[in-house]
Amino acid sequence: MNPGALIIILAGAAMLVGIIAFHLAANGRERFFSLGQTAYHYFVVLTALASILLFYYFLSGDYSYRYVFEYSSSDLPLFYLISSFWAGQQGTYLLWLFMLALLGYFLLRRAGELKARTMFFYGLVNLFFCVMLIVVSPFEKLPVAQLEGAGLNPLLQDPWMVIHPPVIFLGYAAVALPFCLALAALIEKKTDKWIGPAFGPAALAAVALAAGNIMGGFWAYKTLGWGGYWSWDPVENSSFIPWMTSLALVHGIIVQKSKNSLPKTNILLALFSFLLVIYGTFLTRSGVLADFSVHSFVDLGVNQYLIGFMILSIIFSIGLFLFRLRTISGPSINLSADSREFALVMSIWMLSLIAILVLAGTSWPLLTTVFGTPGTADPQVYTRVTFPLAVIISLLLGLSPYMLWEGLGTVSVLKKAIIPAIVALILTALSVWIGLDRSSYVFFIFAAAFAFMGNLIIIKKYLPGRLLRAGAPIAHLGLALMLIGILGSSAYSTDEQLVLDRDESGSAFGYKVTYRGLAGEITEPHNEILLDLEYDGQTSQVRPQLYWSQRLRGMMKKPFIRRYPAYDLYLAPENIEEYDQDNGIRLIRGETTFVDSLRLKFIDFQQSSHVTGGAAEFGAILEISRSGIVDTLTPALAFKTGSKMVQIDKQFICSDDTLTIRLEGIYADDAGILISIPGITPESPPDRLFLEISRKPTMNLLWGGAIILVLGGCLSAIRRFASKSSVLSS
Amino acid sequence: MKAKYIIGLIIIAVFLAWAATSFMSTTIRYVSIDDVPRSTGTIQAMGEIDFDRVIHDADSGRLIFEITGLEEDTRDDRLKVIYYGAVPGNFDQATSVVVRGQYRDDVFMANELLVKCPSKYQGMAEGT
Repeated sequence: MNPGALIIILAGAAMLVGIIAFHLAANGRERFFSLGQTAYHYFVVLTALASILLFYYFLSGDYSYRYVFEYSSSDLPLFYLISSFWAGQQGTYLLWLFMLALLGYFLLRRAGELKARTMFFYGLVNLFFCVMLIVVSPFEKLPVAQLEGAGLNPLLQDPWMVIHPPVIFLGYAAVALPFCLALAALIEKKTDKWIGPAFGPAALAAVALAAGNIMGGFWAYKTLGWGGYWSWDPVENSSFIPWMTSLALVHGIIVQKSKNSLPKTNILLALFSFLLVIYGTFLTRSGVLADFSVHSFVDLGVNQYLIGFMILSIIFSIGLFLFRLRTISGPSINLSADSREFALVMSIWMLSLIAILVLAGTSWPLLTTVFGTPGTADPQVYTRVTFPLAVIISLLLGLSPYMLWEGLGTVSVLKKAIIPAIVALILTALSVWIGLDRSSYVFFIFAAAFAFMGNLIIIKKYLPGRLLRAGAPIAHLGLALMLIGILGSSAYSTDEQLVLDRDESGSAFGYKVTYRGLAGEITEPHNEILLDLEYDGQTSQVRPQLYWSQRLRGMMKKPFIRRYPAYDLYLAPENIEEYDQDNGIRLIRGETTFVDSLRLKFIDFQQSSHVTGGAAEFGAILEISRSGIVDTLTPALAFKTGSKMVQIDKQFICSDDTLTIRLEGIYADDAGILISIPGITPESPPDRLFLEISRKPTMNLLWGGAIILVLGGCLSAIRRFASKSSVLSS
Repeated sequence: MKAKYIIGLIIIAVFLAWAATSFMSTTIRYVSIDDVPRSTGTIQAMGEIDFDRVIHDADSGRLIFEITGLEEDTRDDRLKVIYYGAVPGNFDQATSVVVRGQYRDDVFMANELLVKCPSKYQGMAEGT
């Protein structure tokens, strides 16, 4: 047993002690709580130790460990050794456990009267990940220690891949807190006591998943070279769905804190956020979608544990919810259209519907297998079905600043919304003038612009001074910008494919692109393509990447992106094709041909008799003439056993020039030869480049909006963490 | 109050029904090679590339190849595929390929090629 594996087992054992202690404490023997707490401290220290140890093995290049061997190598810069840590499944489970371990302290301190019961469930979640890490251990030893590692997937050698996974797993870990709090509340029949402590973690989950998904999209955009940032791939969807549900939960908790309504909805949202994270992990890591995706999902032999945990969690949590259903009650919701409660309930519905649709689409291969012919959902369908929901969300966002808890009356809400609506109309008219051309898009842009204006006005009221309060409107404003950016960049992106021979130029969108060749070999990692990019009289050399990755068995294409205020210019190399290098003139015996004032006659073959050292020589007797000068030359190919073929060139000297006559090849089947004369016979370029060049408008709105969304979300989450659980917020 | 609930539920039900039909009408069915000639619309099929019969016409950007079934009973079924576009870089090393497109006049016109390659490593961690 090696130290790392032992530490994981000890961490699991400490957690087990903690679970028993928390169980006893939750059932009336409170003195056991401090034992549970101590056990939890040990668990956290051991988990941290395991993480440090794994990282140390990466730093020291200990290739006796399979995981270190498979995901790193000694030439990797220190910075990317961090991403090696979570490049494979085993490491991500450890990262996940580490995040869970840290967040547990929040529950210990803030879960109030539910803390023992909550920690019991939280301990079970932690224990599950300990078991996973025992089954697929990052500390597995190789039978024979290696001297060098296999290296890291080149796509993961990117600064975003250092930061994106911890953020995503922070979000995954955070959804476990409301889940355990909700379970404890159901057991204890205190469904009003869990939302206080769950508020901060739910907000953290929502903002971490937002940031994680956005970073993932940004990484895909600037690294994968297929031209987009989101492809509705199962891996993306499995973190998108819990983002939507935890965002719905945040809005639901706001309602329950102020009005005590929605107790059942919130419990369901807390349960499903966690269950969907586990379901997503199952979908993307068990190999069930292997036939439906290009991603090579690998079953590492943890399926039965993952499926078992998932089914147990679903049956237990949903069963408990149904069992307690009749004991949970709250006041009925205020559905008058001018109230904030109505707006929030609508937003919960919209976010939940998006989650349901994406869930259905991601599970489509499984659903269709159950009900008949298996098939996948066309990725475009996601956009189509979520489009009307995005419009409704935008309209709600624009109205929400005027929808107060007490309700101002529908007429006065609409009156207050007149100014943002008018500005939004003007902005929409401008967009139509620029080129917005479909009625559904016009609605969409109006709604998003309305959301932007409504929130801008309210932010101005809060700033400066009440920055934390401005969190929600800032996030909403960012979302509005993002939606505009998404529409602009996806519906109005234009692209052209250029096929360029070496040193040939092509034009698109007013840009002139010349292909100058490769900086290195195509098999070299991060090999660059040299392009001259000319625009408006200015030429610069740009270097997108194109290289064959032996590790991923594929062509990697990292685009070159130039950002302008209104659009991105996106140059993505697709492939390089080498031309066959048999340039020259084909002649069969006795044939005469004319090239460029030169007369060429192939008289016969000549097999050389002087065989020295096992060499054989095959020549072609040629009669060459130009402007009266005639010569007979015999260029040849020499073969020597054990060495390469050598071309024996001949010189043809005519009045003003000396030409090199070269025999390129001999064809035995039709008694033919291939002759090349540099400068005379046509030479094809060595290769040609397939290049996709696209113009993607409003990308800056998309990323700018995303940053504002995440910043606003952070402010909001900080406010929710800072406020004590009993304080009502309005 | 009750009426609002009912209206709301009806709207959601109609929306979900519309979404469900959208999903169903755009489903790209997985068809085994021997069933391809009987299928209409956009479908996808998986097979093994017969590398002896790959023609790449670089000038028209056309890739013509044949695939055979992967299962025991479809191993002898052949499907001729025509694909326009840049050849995926890992085509030569593909163990199997998923083609997505339509079957017309005895040929499968592929709009998309998904090449599957042997890799002992996991593709990517998270967030692709």
